[in-house]
Amino acid sequence: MTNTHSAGASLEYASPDEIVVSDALKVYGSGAGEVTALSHVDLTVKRGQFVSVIGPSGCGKSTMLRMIAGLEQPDSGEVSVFGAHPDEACAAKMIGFVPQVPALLPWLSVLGNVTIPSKVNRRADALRRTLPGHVARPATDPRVLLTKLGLGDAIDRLPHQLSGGMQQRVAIARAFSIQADVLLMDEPFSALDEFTREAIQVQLLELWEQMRTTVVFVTHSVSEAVVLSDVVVVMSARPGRIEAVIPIDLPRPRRQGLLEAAAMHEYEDLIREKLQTAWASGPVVR
Amino acid sequence: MTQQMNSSVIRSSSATRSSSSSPTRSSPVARSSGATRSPWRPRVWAPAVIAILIAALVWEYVATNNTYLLPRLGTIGQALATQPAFFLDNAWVTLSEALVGLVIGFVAAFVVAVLVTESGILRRAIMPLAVVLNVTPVVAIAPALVVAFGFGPAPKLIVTALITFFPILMNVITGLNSVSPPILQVFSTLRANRFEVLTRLRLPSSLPYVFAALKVVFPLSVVGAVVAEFSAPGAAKGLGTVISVASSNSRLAVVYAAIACLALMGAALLLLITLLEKRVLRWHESQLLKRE
Repeated sequence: MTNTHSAGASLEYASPDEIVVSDALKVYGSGAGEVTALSHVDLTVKRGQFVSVIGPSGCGKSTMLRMIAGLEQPDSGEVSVFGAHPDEACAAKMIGFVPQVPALLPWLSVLGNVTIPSKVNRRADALRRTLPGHVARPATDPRVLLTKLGLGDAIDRLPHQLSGGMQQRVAIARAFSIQADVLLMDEPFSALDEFTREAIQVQLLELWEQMRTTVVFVTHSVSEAVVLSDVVVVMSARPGRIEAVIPIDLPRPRRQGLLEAAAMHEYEDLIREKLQTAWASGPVVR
Repeated sequence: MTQQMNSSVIRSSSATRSSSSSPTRSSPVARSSGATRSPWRPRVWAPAVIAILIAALVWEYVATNNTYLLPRLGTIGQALATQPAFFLDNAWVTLSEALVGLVIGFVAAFVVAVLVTESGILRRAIMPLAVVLNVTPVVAIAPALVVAFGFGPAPKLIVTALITFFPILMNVITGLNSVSPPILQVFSTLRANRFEVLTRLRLPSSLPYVFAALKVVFPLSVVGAVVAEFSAPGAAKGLGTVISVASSNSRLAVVYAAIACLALMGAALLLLITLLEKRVLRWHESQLLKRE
């Protein structure tokens, strides 16, 4: 955080309209216990794209997400978020992070939880205007945001009065509320049951089609990745690397009815095939 | 419902995702239905009342047969009734010593807890001292404090503050560190500064632990005040002084009347803090479980 300007200066290659992960290497542990979480990974996400990252456990998909979020540093290689270093992007509140669990503040109402990001780090907006990748966005009323996510009646409730699905929707609204340039979602629906999950997917898509915020979405579910994404990134484990990048060329808006479409199943089969070859080509699990 | 439960659900569901997901959830409405049950049903209060009655009977039996062991309950009541102003006066002195000492101990412990959680250097410097303070029997320090500060309120306040300091310190430290990692990550991606993390996350998260500590130290503060009064008898007022003077004159009824006042005082303080906790911690799972 202290040397954001020098870090920013080293990113001359970085595009102001892309998230770029270039030659990122991350190794955990040392000696015999050494695990290569990410082995020289390259990834480009264009502004406005919905990109899902899928792969087996230990393929480094969460590690990559956390690098873009500035929560972890690569051992070598570079990460840039719309032309800025992740630290700088965080300082400018360009990143909306949605963790696996809702992680709401139990003492705040739904509205309080959604507006909390605007109450911390108040210098972010001024910083954001100075960055190369700055795009002016109209402010969103948190109440409108919550209504769009079907939480209009729950605005004054406390988190413990909500179901798991509602809590996760509040967490999504919290990430959208700062007009983030990119939403980073780390398996946000993995704790939800099948019905709740499909309902939230539809709501997320509707909101995303209005906002067109860039999304990087880590998931375990092939069908979820296909329904939501413009691009699906298939990763493989040991060492973590990108196996395939598959554009999903299906019309939007995508609604529940489309889930049965044959084209969708073809994409799902293709991704499963890639996951299997990734599994087969990887070294034997120790 | 709780953070821990959430994360354990996730861990297990990654293995058996499709089978473990259940469409039926306990609705929030169903949760509050338990609150309509009345606390005045006999099966709620009867066990306590019967236990107290049995204890009173045993007391009376022992007191009637061994007058030198225990005074009879009636005699204690008589002692209280004949000079209520005397007991009230002394109870007030002890209570104010206990409460002022508690406030001093609480503020000191809270400040130290914040410093210790914010700075590793301060933690390594202060914690050994705090532990030494904790293992030193405060009862043993009291006479020395009386020598140093005389028979006024000062030694009583210091003893009470010392005796309440450590439980508050340990609980507040645990509380300040009880913020879940995912919410810290969200705040980290927003680059909230340390002060914002402290005031918006750590302090509210510590409240359940603060109340747990208060439930321990409220009665403890009375203990501290009484112990300090024992060490400086004859000079000042206070129920501790009453007890030590009366017992040296073998006036058992007065001793037990003063003890009854102390017990009542402790119970009232505990009730007060529990009611306050109910109001402040509406959002916390400990209160939700009680309602169920």
